[in-house]
Amino acid sequence: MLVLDSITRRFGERLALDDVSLSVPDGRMVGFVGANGAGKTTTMRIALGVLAADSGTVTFRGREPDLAVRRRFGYMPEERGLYPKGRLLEQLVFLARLHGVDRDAAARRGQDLLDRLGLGDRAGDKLESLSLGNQQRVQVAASLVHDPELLVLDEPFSGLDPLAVDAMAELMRERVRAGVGVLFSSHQLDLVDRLCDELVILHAGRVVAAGEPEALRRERAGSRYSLVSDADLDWVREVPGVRVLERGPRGVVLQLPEAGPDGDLDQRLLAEAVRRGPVRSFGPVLPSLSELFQEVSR
Amino acid sequence: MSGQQAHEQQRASARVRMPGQGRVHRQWWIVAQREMLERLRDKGFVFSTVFLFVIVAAAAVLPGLFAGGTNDYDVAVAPEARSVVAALPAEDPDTRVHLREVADTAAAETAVRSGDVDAAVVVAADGRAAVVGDRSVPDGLSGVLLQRITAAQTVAGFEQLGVSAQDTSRVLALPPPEQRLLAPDAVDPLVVYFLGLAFAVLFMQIVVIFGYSIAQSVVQEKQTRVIELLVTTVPVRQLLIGKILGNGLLAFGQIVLLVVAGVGALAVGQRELLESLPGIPAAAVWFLVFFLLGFAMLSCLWAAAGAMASRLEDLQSTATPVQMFVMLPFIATFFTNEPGTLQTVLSYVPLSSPMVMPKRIVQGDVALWEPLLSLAVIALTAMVFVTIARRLYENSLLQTGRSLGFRSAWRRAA
Repeated sequence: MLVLDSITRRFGERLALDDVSLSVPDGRMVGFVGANGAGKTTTMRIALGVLAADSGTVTFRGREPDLAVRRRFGYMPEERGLYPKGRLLEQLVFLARLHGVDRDAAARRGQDLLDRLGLGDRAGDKLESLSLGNQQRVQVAASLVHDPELLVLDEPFSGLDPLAVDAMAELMRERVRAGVGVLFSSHQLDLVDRLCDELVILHAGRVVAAGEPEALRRERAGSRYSLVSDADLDWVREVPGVRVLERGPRGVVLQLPEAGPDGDLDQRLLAEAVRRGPVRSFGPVLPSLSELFQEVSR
Repeated sequence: MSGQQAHEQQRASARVRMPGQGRVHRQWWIVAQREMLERLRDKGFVFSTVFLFVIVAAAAVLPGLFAGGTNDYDVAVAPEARSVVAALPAEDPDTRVHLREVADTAAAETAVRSGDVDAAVVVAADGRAAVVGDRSVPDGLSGVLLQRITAAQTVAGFEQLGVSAQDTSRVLALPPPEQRLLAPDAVDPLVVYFLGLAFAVLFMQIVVIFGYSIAQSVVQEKQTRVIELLVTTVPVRQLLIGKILGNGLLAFGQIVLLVVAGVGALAVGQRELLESLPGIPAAAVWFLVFFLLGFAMLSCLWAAAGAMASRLEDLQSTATPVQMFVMLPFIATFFTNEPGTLQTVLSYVPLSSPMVMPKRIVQGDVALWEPLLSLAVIALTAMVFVTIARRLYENSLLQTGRSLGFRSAWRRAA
C-alpha cells in the first residue's frame, strides 16, 4: 500500500497541494480525478520521488521509499517521454535494465508487451515512425516493462483510440489482479467510473472526496427520487415540499426536502403512488460521477 | 502456461535479480552504452569520422608524394647545341634528361611551345648558348642543363688556351664541397608549427563536437521528458557519468584513430620527416593522455550547459560560455609558436595545456615532470568543474519550463 499523508507543496507563492492524503492499497485500482491544475500531476510526482514535498510523508508498505524501492514503481508521466529516435524494443530493454532487470528477461518482457499492445512486428522501428496513438502504447509498455509493484499512471487514456483504451484497461486490470496497486488520473469520468475500485477527487490542491464510488454517490445522493408508474403522476406536484425536477412520459424525478420533521415523506409518497396505480420503480437517484465531480469541485 | 502465470514467473525472476538493497549495478554503464549506440548509428558521426581519418592521413602523406621521387625531362637540342649538352659523370640521378634532336633553333622553339618537350638548348650564331623554356624551366632541369653547358664551354675555352680537354675534365670532376650541419637535429620550426596546429585543432574540434553531443543528449532528454522516467530509477550522478563516459569513449576512440592515422601515414609516406623528429610518437602519446583528462574536465561543463537549456534551440545560448572555454585557449595557442615564457605558462594553464604541452614535447627540452605536473593541474581543475557542473546539472534537470541562467541554476538547491 502506498500512503501519502498530509502532503503540502508550494511553488513560490502558490499553494499547489494542501494537506493531501490518499492511499493506494495493493491490488486496488484508484482513480484520481480533478480539474486541470488541481494538483494531480504534482501529487503523482511527489509519490514517485521526482519532486519533494514541503511537508508530509510518503510511505510504501510501511516504509519511506528510497530509490531502490521506487525503482519497483511503474510510472507513466503526463508529458510522455521516450527517445524519438530509439527503437521500440531497445528503449524498453534500456528502461528495464535501468530498473535492474537483466537484458534477456527485459527483451522477453518487452517483446511480450509489444505483442499484447499490437506492436509486436514493429519492435525494431523507431518511435518517431509510429502514430501518436501507437507511441502512447509504447509509453504504456515502458511503465510496465520492469514488472512494477505499484503503477502510477498520469492520464493513461488520453490520446488513445477506443480499442487501445480497452487494451490499456485490460493491462491495468491484469496488474491489479496480480496484486499491484494502481493510481491513475483521467478526465474521462465514465472510464474512471467503470474501472476504479476507489476514487479520489482533488480540487484546488485539496482532497474533496475519497472512497468507493458507489459509497460516495450514496453519500451525496441527497433526497432525489425517481418514481415510475403506469398511473398519471400529476398529483405529486400538489404534495407540499416536493419539487418535480424532470418529467418523462412514465415517470418523474423529484426533489424532496432534506430530511427534517417530514422524515418519512418518501414512504408516504410511495404509499400514495401505490394507491393510485401500479408502481414500477421508486428509489433514490444516485448522481453520476460527473455530477458528483461538479458538485464537489464547486 | 497462462499469460498471468507467465507474468507471475517473470515477476518473481525479476525480483530475484534485484540485488539485496535493490541497487542496480552499473547503471552508468547502461546509460553509456545507449549513448554510444545512438551515436554510432548516426550517419553523420560515421561519415565525419571517416572524413577526418582520410584528411589526416592525406595531410601526412601527400606532401611526401609531391616532393622527392625521380623526374624525367625531355629536352630538344638543335644541331649546333649538341656538343654542349653531353651528360656529366656526377649528376643528380633523380633528374633524368632525355635529349631529342631537332632540325634547327626554330624547330626547337616550336617543340617547346607545343609542350612536346620541357625545354630546349640552342646556340646562337655568336656562340652564346641558351636554355629555352615556355613559361619557366623546372628548377632541377635548369640546374642540370646549366651545369652541362658551363662544363662544355669551360672545356672548350681552356682547350683554346692550350689546356687539354682531359685535364680540364679532371679538374671539373673534383668532388663538390660537402655540406656539414652544426645542428642537424634542430627541429624545423615550420614542422613544429604545423604539428602544434594539428594537435590544437584536433583537441578543439573533438571537444566541441562531442561536448555538443553531450549537451544535446541532455537537452533531448529534458525536451522529450524521458528525464522524468529516468530520474525515478537512476541517480542523477550516474546519469551524468554515463553520458560523459559514453561520449568520452567515442571521442577518445576517434582521436586515437586520427593520431594513429597521422603518425602511421608519416611513417609510411614521410619516413625522413619522422626520423628527423624522434619526439613525434612520444608527443602523440602525451597528446592522447592530455586529451583524455582535458575532455573529462570540459565534458561535465557541456552536460551542465545542456541541462540549463530546456529546448535544443536554447542550447546555443547556454553553451556559449563553455564554448569560450575551448575557443579562447585555442586562439591563445597561435601566440605560442616560439618557445618562451608565454608558451611555458600556457602549457600549465589547464584549459590550454592539452593544446600547448604536446607541442613543447615535440620541440624537445621538456623534462618528464613538466607534462605530469600539467596533467595534475588539469585533474584538479576537473574536480572543481565536476563539482560545479554536477550541481548545475542536478538543479536544472527537471526544470523543463524555460532555460535557466547560471545564477538560478546554481541557487535552486541552496
